[in-house]
Amino acid sequence: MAEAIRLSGITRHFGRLKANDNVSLTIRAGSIHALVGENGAGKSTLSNIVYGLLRPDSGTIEIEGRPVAFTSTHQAIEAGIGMVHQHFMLVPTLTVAENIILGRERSKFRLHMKRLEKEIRELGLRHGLEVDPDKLVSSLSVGEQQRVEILKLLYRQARILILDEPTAVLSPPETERLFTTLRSLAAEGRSILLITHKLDEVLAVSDEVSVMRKGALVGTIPAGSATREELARMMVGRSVLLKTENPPQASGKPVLCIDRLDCDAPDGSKKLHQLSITVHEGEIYGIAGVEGNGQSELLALLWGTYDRHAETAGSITLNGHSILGMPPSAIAGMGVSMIPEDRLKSAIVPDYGIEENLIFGRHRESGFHRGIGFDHDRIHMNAGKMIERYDIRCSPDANPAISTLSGGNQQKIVLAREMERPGLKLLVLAQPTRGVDIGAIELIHKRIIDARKSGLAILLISSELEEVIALSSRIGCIFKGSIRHEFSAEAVRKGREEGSGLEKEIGLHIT
Amino acid sequence: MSRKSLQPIIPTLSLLFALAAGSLVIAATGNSPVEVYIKMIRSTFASGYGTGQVIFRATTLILTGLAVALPFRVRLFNIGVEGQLLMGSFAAALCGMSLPQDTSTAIALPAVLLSAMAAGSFWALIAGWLKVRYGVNEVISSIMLNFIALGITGYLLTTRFAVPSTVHTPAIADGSRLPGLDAVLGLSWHSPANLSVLVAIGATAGAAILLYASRYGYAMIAVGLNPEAARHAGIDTDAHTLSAMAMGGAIAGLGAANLVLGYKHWFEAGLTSGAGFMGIAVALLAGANPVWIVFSALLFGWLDYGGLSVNTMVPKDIFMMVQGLTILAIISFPALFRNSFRK
Repeated sequence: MAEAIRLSGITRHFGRLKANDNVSLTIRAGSIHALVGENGAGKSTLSNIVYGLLRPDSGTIEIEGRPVAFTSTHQAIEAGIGMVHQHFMLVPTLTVAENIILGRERSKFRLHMKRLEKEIRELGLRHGLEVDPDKLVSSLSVGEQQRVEILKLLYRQARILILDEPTAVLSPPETERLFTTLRSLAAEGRSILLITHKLDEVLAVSDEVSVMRKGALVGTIPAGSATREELARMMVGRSVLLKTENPPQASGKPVLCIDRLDCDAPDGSKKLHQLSITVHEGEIYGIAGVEGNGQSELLALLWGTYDRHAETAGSITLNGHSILGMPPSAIAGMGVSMIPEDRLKSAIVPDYGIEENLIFGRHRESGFHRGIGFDHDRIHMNAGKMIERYDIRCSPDANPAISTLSGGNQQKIVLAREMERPGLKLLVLAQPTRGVDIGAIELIHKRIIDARKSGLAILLISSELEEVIALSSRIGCIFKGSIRHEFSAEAVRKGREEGSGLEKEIGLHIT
Repeated sequence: MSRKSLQPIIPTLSLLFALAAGSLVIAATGNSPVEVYIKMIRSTFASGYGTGQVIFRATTLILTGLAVALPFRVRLFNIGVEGQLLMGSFAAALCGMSLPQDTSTAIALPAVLLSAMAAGSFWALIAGWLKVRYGVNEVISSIMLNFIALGITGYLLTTRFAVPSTVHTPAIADGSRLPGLDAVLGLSWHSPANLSVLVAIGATAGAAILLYASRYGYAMIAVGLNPEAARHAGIDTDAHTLSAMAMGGAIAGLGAANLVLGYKHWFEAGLTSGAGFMGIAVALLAGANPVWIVFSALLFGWLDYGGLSVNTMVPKDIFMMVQGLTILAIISFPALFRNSFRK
């Protein structure tokens, strides 16, 4: 079969770092080729090289048999390559049709909108990419916006499509639909390079998988014969426990009670509606849902960081005491820890050292104080202890800035700090393993289960269904600001043992 | 190369660049840059009077520099130092003149200093409060507050407080004056330098301890580096905004110690001669680090008085250009470096 892309010996440095190290890779025409690897393995660099955003230091690229040396994305587009970025490049104030022809107007004077709209409809019908060409992009759902991005590439006659983490923002049914589209595109002879870190998806949709680790290509194998365990081992370089031990446990008395919580944003939009949840001692309550269904607002209300112009009703109590409206320092003082959704933005000070970050938010504890300042010996000892207990990979005596560590190690620092808070009763975890590599996920999951075993009440909010199912005792499905369905401990345990059935069922309740 | 290791290089490079550019301009006016610079050095550091002038100017600049630097640490650009210095000086002069002539130093000095700090602080807090309460950009509000301060002090001076047929207030009580360095050290420099240099050094030490050795500074710097995370960590960012402005304004007001208590002994039109604005340059050159501000203030004090001392050879305006170029270079160089590293 013909080759769509052939990369030979691609090497690219960033300073001293080898982002791509002698990568050779062939993508067959008409195939779906997945590229997997941990954060920083060099996937993005490689795809940016193919798309003309970066130039390789050495190595050659052939597109459909012709050697090319792109100096701009424009040339890559001319050669039939298209890319859907993780963050969409659409103009929200224009219609779908206008977005699609943007920069590609065929006539200088008149836009044949009617003909164009017909073309878009036909393309959509053929590949399951139905969107109304008249609609404004700002009124579309995330899934629909992605369809517009793909239509844009098809309209430009792209024969090779690069998709960067396309399912990160999609609900399970939307993901399923995207895969159908991708298969139909491949069947027409188009080639697809799919960049992802979700192993299940790789196995479900792709023909071949290439695994990258530390800038180098570890290998390419047919997806049909691959297993999750095998791929994970190739990515990390050692065997990884993908399933965390999660033995059942009787839960204790209620710790966190959220009762008929309402929240209207200052602009009047309803963010939470009659949301009720109870989290007990010794249980992990998982909230599953597509992002943007009220999770962020719930977290802000729990932690006292919400916009005070918002209107709220209902109650949040911790061991019977109301915490709604209290500032974060007071809530933390009652024995609550929070791991926020966005680590870099809300959980760490990137320019501070590891030691300073390990007391950030706990700097009011008198154990760390001396005079008007801090007891630096204590803080140093505290850091040493945490680095060991949470397997944080760094050079501890240099106290490097936390921004120099990998995402996984940064998250371990946040986790260590929050889990070791004295007098902890409730742990709120939002996306605890986002942007974290597989090796670190394994440890973080184990620590979360350990915390539950010690009797902590844990609220887990994650858009990764797999994670929610693996960790939770009970699961609530959030949709448009309410818990639409709750799975009992019994149902969750059964679902976990039986495999993918539960995931499908949850999918129905969150869309 | 890491960002940290670049930090001291950029101000030095900027200064060298600005001095070189200044040399070109001096050469263009038909003078020898070397001669001009030598004369500048001779008329400042080689003479007691000149040294005293540099110290005097640097004293105000240390205080106005700190007044910019502290709010800068919580991402606030305090452009209003000039107004805060004006209000502080005016309050100090009014307080000092209303004290009975025989008030003891132990009462008069603290009273006058406190009134200066309170007035400066109040003026800065208006911008801080507008920011916290209504989200008004502090750059714009503090610039406007400069004009208002100029208007208020000017109006009150001419209509109410000026000694008839002069543009200054009556002198402050003897007990509230700070003696000159000549009297204290037994020198005969005849310069305006006075004991308030100790006030400036004390304020520097205080700011350095606050920022680098206290828990308050840990929280404050965190607010500046990542306000969202600071909020999550239970730090009241609004309180930090207000307190940083209040501290900045109080230190700006302390500039009155040098201008009113130590030198003029009254408030007059044009007293501050733009020291508040130059404080912005001083703080930027020092990267808002209190200890570096002392050196930065000495440098700007030197350029200021040195430029004046060679006025017969080249116009003083040239050195205003050098000061401006230094800051312009400091702001642009990091961006230039970043671009050249990216390739």
